[in-house]
Amino acid sequence: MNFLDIKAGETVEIGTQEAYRFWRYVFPPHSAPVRLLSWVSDKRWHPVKIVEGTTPDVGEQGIHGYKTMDDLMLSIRDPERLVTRSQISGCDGVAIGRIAMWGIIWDHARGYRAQFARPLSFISSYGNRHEEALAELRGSFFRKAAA
Amino acid sequence: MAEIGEPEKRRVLVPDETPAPDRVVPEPKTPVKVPERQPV
Repeated sequence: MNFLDIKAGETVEIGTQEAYRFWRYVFPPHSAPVRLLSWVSDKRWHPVKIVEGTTPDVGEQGIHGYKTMDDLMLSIRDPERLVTRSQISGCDGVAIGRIAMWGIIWDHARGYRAQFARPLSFISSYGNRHEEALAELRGSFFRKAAA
Repeated sequence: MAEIGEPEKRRVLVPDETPAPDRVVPEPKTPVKVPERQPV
């Protein structure tokens, strides 16, 4: 992170902030591995790589996450509704998971917007071949951790 | 993503973790030469 982003007198905390979020997933043609995409943008999340979002200091930008699973479910209400919206954008469905966030973070009433993030776990999925998608995502993102 | 409510507070977090595999600093290619001790 850029330490020039830290403002005078601001406290720097050591650690990460856990949060819950959802993504779109898509099975590409020719049996390529399932791809994980942000919900709003077409930002792709890769195994091992850290995701850097747009600066949370501007508007509603940054990587979004909910404080609790209840906050997430309250917001999305019916996951099947999200599946329909994901499929309109050409994806196969929706994955829900837990992430670690750091860098500049804006606390909101029910969630956060952060500068950096990486997935910690995938909890559930909904849509086409959702069980296969969940297993593939867990395998590709956390294979080393499980070994 | 939708509905996380009103912004409340700005924070800065620095992770205290082992670097990810793609961020590990590689070993130097040339060995570091240790200077011989000089007689005092």
